[in-house]
Amino acid sequence: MRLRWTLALAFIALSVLQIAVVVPLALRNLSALLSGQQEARVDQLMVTVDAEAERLQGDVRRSMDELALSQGLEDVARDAARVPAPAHVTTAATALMTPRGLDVLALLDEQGRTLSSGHLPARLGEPDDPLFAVTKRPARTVTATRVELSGADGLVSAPALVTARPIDYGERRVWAVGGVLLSEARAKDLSRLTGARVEIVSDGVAHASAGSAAPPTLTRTLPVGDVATLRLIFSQADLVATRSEVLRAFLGFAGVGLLLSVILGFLVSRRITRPVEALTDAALKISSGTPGVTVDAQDASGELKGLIDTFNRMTGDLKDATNKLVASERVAAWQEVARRLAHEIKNPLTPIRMSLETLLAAHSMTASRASSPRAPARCWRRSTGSNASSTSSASSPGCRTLSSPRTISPR
Amino acid sequence: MTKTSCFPLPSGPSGEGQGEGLTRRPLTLILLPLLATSAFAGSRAHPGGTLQVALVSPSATVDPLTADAPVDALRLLLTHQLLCRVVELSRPSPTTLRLTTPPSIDPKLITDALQRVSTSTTAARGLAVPIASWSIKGRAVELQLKGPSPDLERMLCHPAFAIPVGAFKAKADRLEAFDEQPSGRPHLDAVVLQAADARTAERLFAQRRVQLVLGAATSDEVVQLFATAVVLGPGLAALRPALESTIDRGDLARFFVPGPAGPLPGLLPPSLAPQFPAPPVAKPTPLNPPRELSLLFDEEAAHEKSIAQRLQVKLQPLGYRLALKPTPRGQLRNRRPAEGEVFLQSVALPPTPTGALLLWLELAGQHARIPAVLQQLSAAPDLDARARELALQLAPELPLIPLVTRGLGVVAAKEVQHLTRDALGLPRLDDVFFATE
Repeated sequence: MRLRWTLALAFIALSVLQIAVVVPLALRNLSALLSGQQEARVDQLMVTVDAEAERLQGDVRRSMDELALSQGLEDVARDAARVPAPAHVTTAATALMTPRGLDVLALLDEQGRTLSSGHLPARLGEPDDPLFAVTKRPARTVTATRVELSGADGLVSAPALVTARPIDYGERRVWAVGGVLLSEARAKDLSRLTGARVEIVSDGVAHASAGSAAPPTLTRTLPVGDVATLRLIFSQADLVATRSEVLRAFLGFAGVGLLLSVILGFLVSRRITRPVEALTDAALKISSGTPGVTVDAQDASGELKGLIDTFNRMTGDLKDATNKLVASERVAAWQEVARRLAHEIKNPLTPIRMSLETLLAAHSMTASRASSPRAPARCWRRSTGSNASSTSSASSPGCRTLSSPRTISPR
Repeated sequence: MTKTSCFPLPSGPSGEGQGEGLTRRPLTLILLPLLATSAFAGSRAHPGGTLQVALVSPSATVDPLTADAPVDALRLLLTHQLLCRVVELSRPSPTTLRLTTPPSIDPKLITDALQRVSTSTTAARGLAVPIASWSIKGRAVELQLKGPSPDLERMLCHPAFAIPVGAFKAKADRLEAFDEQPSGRPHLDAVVLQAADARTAERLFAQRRVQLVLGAATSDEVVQLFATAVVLGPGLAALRPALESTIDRGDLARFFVPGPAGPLPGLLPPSLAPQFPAPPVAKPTPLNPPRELSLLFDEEAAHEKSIAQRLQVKLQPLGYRLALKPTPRGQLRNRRPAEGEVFLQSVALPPTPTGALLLWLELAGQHARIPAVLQQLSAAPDLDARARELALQLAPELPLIPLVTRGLGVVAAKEVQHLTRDALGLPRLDDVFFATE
C-alpha cells in the first residue's frame, strides 16, 4: 500500500478512535446531568403536590368548620331528629354540601345511621361504618378514608379526605362527616399542576386518573393515609428527546470532523509523501542510469528537506565518481593497449636482443678467450632467471646484462 | 252532542267503588248547586286571559305511548284529548263497541290511535288486546272485540289512545284555546308553558311570574295512577325475595320520589284497589360470589335514578351488584329486559283495574296470557272485584315488582279557579278560569 494511503487511513483511524472514545463518554456525562436535573425537577414537583394536599386538607377543615356553624346544618339536624323525618331531609345534605365545595357529606346519628347523605342519598337510614369511624378520630383531624358511592357498575369505594364535626341539637347529637373525594377532578388538578399523569390507586386499582405520560416514565408515589396511593408518572420523553438531540449533534459534529480529518489526512499525507515520491522517482531514474538527477526541495521541510539535500549531494557525488571511474577505466584501457602494444613490440625484439646478446656474448667470449676463459658462462645464467624460454642459448661468462623494458604511457 | 262520562271519578286513596258513587248521587245533586252558588259568590268566572304555567319536567316532547310521567301526560292532554272523552261510546252488541265522533273530529284520528297502540311494543299494547279489528262507518268507528270485554270503554281513557284534538293548539311558544274543541272552547285564551326545575318553578311562582306550577313536590291526596316497577329479566326469580325483603316502599315513596307519591305493594294502586301491606319476606342468604346485573332506567326520570341508586345500596349487601345504565325512554319502553338485566319501568295505568292488569301483564311480557285473563274477567259478575282478585293472584307470578305510584303535584295561585282533575288525577286546564279581582 502506498504511503499516502497508509497515512490517510492512519489519520482516519485516529479520528474514529477519538470519536469512539470521546462521544460515549460525553454522552454519558450529559445523560447523567440531564437525569439529575429531571430528578431535581420531580422532587420539586413532589413538594408542590405535598403542598397541594395540605391546601386541600385546609379547605376541607375550613368548609366543615363553616358548615358546623351554619344555620342550615342546625335546621337539618332538627328536621332529621323528627320522627318521621320530613322528606326533604333526603336531599338536605346535598344542598349543604354543594355550595361549600365538598364532595362528601353525611349526617349520621349517634349509632352511625345515615340521616342524610349528599354523596349517596340512597344510603338514607343505612349505617355508614367507614364514615362513622371518622367521628372517633381526634377533633379537626382530616382523615383519609373510603367512601361508598353509586357507580356505573355498582357501589364503588372511593378514597376521600374527610373530617367530622358534632352538632348537638338538644339531647341529640348529629355528626356531620364531610370532605372531598380523591376523584378525577383532583387528579386533573394535580396533573395540571405537575404535568404528570396522576393516578389515585386504591386497593390496587386506579380509581381516578388524569393526564398522560409518554414513555419512558419516572414514577413517584405518595401514600394517602392507608386507603390510597397517589401515583405520579412523569414522562421522560423530553429527556430522551434532548439526549437524542445532543447525540445527533454529537454525531453530526463527529461526522463533519471525520470528513475533515479524511480530507486533511489526505492533504497532509500527500504533502508528506510528495518529496518521498520524488525521491523514489529520482532513485529509480538514477538506478536506470540517468546520472545527476536532483530532487526539488521546495515543498519539503525539516528532515525531508535534509534528506533531499543529502540525496542531491549524493547524486552529485555519484556523478563525479562515475566520471572519475570512466576516466580511470579509459586510462586502464590505454594502459592495456600499451601493454599489448609493448608486448607485440617486444616479441620481435627478443630475438633481436638475443641475437644481439649472442653477438655480444660471442664477441665477449671472443674477447675473454682472449683474456679469461670463464666470462661468457656467467652471462648465460643471468638471462635464464629474468625471462622465459631462453634456453636456446646460455650466456657466456662475461656477458653484458640488458636493462628492463620501459612502460609506455598511452598519452 | 252528548258526551259519555267514562266512570265516576275516584275521590280518594281508599278507592270508592262504582256502586258507592251511585248511591251518593242524589245527595250530590242537591248539594252541588248549593256549593256552586256559594263558590261563585266569592269568585266569579272571568273568561279569557293567559295562564302562565311552570312545568317541572325535563322532557321536551311527549309521545302518547311514552307519556308515563304525570307531567308528560298533562302536557300531552293539553293538545290531545282522551279518547273516552271525545267520542260517544255505545254497544250495539256485546262484542262490538261503537265510537261515534263529533262532526269536528275525523274518525281517522281514532283509527290512527288504535293502530298506534295495537302495533306498539310498549306496555300500552296490552290495552288493545281485546280489540280484534275496527272499521269506519260514517262518523263512527266500530270495534270488533275478541270477547265481551265489558271494561274496554274505561280502558280507552288511557293517554296512549289520546287523539290530537286537545283544548289547546300549539302556536309558537304558546298554547292557544282551540275554538273547535268538541267539548267547547276553554275559558282561557292561552296557556304559556315554561319548563323549569323544581327550585326555579318555586321561585317563578313566588315572584308571581307563573300562576300554576305543575309537577311540584306536594303532599296532595290525589289519584296516583303513574306507577314505577322493577321488571326482571329471565332467570332472575331469585331477585324477587331479595328485593321484597330489603326494599321499604314507604321509604321509597317518601324520600326518593317527589310527592304526591305512595307505595305500591301490589299491581293495583290505591285508587283502584284496597291496599294490603306486603307480607314480610325473609332475607335470602347473600350471594357469593356477587352477581353482576344491569339496572336500566329512564335517563330523564329523576325519581327512577333515585330508586335505582336505592336498589343499588340495598341489594349490594345481598350479593347483587347493580350497574346503573341511564337509557333513553323510548328505547327502554320498547324492549324487554335480557338476561342479567333489570329495568325500572314507569307506566301510566288506566283508571280501571282490568286495564291496569292487562297493562302489567303486557309489561311483564305475558302478552299470551291476556286473552285467558280477559276470558276470566268477562265471566265474572263483578268485573272490578275479579280483576282485583286476579291482580293479587298474578302479582307473585309476574317477573315484575311494583314499587311506587305517583300523581301530579299542583301549586296554583288564588286567582286560578275551578282546577279540577280528570280520571288520571291530572288537572284539567280547559276548565280553569281566572277569578275576578
